[in-house]
Amino acid sequence: MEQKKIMPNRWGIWDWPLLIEHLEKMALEGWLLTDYHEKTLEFVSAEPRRIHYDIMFFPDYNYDFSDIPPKLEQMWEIAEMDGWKHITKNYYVQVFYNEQPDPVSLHSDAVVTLNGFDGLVKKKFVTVWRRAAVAAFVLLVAFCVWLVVSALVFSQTGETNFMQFAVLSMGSVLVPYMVIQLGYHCFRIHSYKKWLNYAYIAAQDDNQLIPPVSYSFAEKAHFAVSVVGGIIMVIQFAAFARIAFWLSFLGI
Amino acid sequence: MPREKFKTLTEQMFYVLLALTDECCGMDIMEKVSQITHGRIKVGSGTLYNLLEQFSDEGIIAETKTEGRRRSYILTDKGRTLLEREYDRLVTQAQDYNRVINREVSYGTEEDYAEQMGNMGLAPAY
Repeated sequence: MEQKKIMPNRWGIWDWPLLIEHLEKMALEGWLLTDYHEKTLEFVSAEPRRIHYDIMFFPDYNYDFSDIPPKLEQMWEIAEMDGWKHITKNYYVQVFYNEQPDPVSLHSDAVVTLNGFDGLVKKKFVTVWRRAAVAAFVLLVAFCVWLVVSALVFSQTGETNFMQFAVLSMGSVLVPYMVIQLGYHCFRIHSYKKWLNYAYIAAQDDNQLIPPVSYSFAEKAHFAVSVVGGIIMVIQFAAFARIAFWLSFLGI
Repeated sequence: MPREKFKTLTEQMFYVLLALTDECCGMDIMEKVSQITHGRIKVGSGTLYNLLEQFSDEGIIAETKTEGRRRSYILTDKGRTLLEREYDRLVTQAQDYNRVINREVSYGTEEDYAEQMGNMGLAPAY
């Protein structure tokens, strides 16, 4: 009887060579991929055998299977001529397998593959990184302007109020948080562009595909910092809002 | 500085465009490239699909008709210019190669060189 197995998908878009390696290893152990999702991989038990896997990226499609673009169907048909069969239902990562002993690679031109990958990354990641970096920068500048204005007012009047105290306290978390966000997103954009230039040279000169660097540790650290920082700021805001309410209620 | 797409063509891009001087669909392109190059170049299906998408987006090729899943394409004027530019670049490279190699071997004069190039059916590249 066929057994099913669901595994967490630990491989991001950056780790496609590692994912292919893993899928081929699973096939040798008797587990064939039946579906690919962003968070999980689904396998079914089968006779252990050598199977080739490959991945294609589709930046332009966000479809469900009730509305498959004809162009994509045409591509599957072309791929089938070389023995590649389509497996997955994820819209931007398409996984194919081939049982032939030495199949023609799906990607015969590294420059073209890079162009496709770059199209996806720009759409899905670089735009988000850029917006996050700009938002962090604007918030930092706004806070600095507020700080200068508050200092000027304080130097002239010598008075302070609860609101100033609250914003200053929140700034002690907000400023490092925004600096981290700005630094992280600028680093991702810069490192991606650096890799892309390097990869294009290798692709153009030797038709060799250099896999991207995944920075999974930086990604996890950034996620942890974002969550913890976010929670602290929400607690701070809630606490100060509550105090401000009671102060106004008591007429202080 | 942003990278200019298709400033120079890879071998596979060149042959796909060459195949599209006549109208054909995806599967025909693969076969045609294989025929033109006597099997030396085999375009992967993923590469072909990405190329057709990228060339269409840039207006280098145009879709002519759709029959079921089959979509046919043909080279546009922009594509033809691109192909010709790449051909000129390759010919210049070949001329440079011949000029350097022939001079190294024969240590000939400018006239000898012009004659050698003429024998090969090429214009002297100076």
